[in-house]
Amino acid sequence: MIRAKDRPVDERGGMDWLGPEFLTWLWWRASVAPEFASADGSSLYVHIDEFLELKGERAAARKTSLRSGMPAASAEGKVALRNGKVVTSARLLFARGEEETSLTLRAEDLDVSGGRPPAPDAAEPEERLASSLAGVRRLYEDLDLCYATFLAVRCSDRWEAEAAALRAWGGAPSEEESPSPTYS
Amino acid sequence: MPSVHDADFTRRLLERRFEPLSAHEERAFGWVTADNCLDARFETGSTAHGPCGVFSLRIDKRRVNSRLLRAMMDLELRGRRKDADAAAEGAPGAKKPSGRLSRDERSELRKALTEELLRNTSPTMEVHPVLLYPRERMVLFGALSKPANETFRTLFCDTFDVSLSTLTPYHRGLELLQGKGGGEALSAVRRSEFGGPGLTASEVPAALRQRAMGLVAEAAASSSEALGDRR
Repeated sequence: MIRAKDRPVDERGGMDWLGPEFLTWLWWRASVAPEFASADGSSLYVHIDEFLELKGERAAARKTSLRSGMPAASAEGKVALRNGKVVTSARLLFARGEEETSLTLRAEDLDVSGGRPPAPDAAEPEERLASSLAGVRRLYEDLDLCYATFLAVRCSDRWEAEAAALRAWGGAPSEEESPSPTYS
Repeated sequence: MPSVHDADFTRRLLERRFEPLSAHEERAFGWVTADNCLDARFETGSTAHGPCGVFSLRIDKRRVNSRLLRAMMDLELRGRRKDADAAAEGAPGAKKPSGRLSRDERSELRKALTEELLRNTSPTMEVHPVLLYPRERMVLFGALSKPANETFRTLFCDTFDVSLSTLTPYHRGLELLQGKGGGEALSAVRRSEFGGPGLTASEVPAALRQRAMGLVAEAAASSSEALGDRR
């Protein structure tokens, strides 16, 4: 963010937990209701891809890093959540119709890395650059859409119900934790 | 911030454009065009792509390989010792020189070898894209490494005479909530726990809360008694 030199700013507002809370919520939301409605009427689908990292505080400060094999549906992820850990980084997949964009989002500063917008199909370098810029712009707009949706709930009376639903989801066994069939 | 279509915008970029490393320099950085890292000839409007300004930060570094420097120092010292021994053999009766260099001489030698190595070392190059949206007062920098970010911050602030703040979740939240209560809406928000033991205070039954407070009071009383006994 650009600001005038004489205007100091409190970068975090004492809310370091806001980013991890958002990403934890997004994990839950992507699992139960992955569709986000844009203002223009189009739909964005969010999916947690091949990477999920959770971290806690104090006794649970150890990091849980899950890679490949659908980490969002894993038993380890939910166990970490139950132990008070929150999501600090995740590989996300944004899907809009045929277009897919993947990125790794770090919760602390909403830093994006490994962003892969749809490959530009234009032949001319100028057009390719324009297409790439549009892809980056779209990526940040989609991120804003998810974050704005979160904030709308987070700053409303609906939050307690939403958080309770998230806790219930976290408490329920994952697909991996479901009891296996017994043989008599 | 000047508009990306403005001559002033181009002038500022040109003032801080990338200049290649001189023979003795170890590090150089500056702005180059987005499509060619060898091109730093900005023209008015050439960086503009719609409302967005696009250019790149180029950082060149030339580092002397410390292992190579040590090896060259060693060879040089050995050579000097050999020369000293040869000179002593050629002049019998004269005091044999030790062949050892003083601290200052070693330092001079190291400096000379470092400069020689620097001249012969090719620089490494990093190029990171910069996307600037002056209207939204937002700039996207295409690298997460700390040194690159620090260089970018310094150069950007010097170029445009502004400061940069990280777009943290809190800041983005304030911007997205503009017109919906913004800061006030966020200030009322308290941290939630999603884990098993993490019930918020309001979720803990009143009786349990009272019991917990009683236990805390008992513990405080007994510890102050224990301290009193010790005194």
